[in-house]
Amino acid sequence: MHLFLFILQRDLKLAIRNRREMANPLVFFVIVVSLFPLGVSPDQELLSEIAPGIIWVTALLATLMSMDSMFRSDYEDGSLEQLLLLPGSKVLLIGAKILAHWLSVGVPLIIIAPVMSLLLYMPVETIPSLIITLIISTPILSLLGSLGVALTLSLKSGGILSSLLILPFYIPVLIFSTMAIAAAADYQPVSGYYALLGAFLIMSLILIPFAVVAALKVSN
Amino acid sequence: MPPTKNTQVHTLTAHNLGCERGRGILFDEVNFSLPGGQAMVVTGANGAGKTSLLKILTGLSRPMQGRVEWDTQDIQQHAETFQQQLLYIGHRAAVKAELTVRENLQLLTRLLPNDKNMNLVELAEIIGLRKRLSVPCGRLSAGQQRRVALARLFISNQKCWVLDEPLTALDVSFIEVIEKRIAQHLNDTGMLILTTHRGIQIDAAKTITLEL
Repeated sequence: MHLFLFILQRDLKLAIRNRREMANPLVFFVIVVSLFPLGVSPDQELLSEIAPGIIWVTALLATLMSMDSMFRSDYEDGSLEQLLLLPGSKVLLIGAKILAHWLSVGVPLIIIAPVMSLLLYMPVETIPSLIITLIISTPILSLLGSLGVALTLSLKSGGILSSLLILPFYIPVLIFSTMAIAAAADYQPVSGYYALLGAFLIMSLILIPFAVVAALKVSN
Repeated sequence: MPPTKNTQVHTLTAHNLGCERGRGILFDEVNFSLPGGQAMVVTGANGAGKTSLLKILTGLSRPMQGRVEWDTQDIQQHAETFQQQLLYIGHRAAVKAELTVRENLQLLTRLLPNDKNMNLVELAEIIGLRKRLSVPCGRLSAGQQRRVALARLFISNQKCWVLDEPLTALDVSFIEVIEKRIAQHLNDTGMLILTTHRGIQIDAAKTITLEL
């Protein structure tokens, strides 16, 4: 546990030091979402219909953008080797890094997304479901993304390959999240979607840190 | 200075190690047994596989064939025991450019398994960066960054040191400090494996050379 907190603290400190870089995905999110009313149409009905899709696709791409920073700098300056040589649970260590990534990318997205959704005339009743799907799903995005990055770490331009690897696994998350919001807009029951997303989260939470440790050992 | 409470003498043994890169074989049938108190200098031309060998010896990568044993225990299977006693400093310094010297030293000291409470200021004094404690490491020279990375030698009580090109970019006066620390480490029954292209003064009676 000591190691977990130590790594978490270290990564959050580095994220705060690199805040300009860390703000990139957020700025991207805000810009893309605010361009839609200008580019598509300012029509309220149309926008409110496509709003969940826009918010979700953009959030997904913003997360994807930020993934590379997770292990890349540690890999390049040799810190990753040192971390992997620490006695103690490597799974816990990777868990801490993933949590730090979610706190520095996922959580700001969760906070900013409801604000941006107002820009797209999203019905106020659906905002709670937007927030809930984001809370359940953004950790899944961080977890899956970390695996893609870990697998492609030793490649010079691993960014594109890792995006291609991860994207298919992001799609179910995207589908169920947007369906949940659409169901909420139609006053349909939504708990089924939440349950599915929750199951997805639990599965990735249990399995992915182990896979990432194995992938990092190969990449090193 | 490091305590000498741990007086057990360990041995690091390599059995028939082999490594390949791409399609070619870098080296094979590397055998040695290194007891505590001895140093091993790995020599060889550029690209001979010195860094690859060191990574295998730390357990970071797996050999194509053969095995490495720490006191007759395979280091991959008993990684925990070995890692308690291992200090590896790679040729990438593991120094965070965006953190200050003080923060880096804090990280490095806490990363060590045997946490010793040496005053950071004392440590900075040894590596000659006391006046630069609050400067981000990215603004230091290459040699100064190297000093920050090597600061770990002065608080480590691990028995097995693996150093990949530790002297790169260092000035003569600091190399002397490192040499002194190494001599002390060997006297404390520690062992040392290093690669270097620069001359380093280590007691010849305690040194074996491995040519790749």
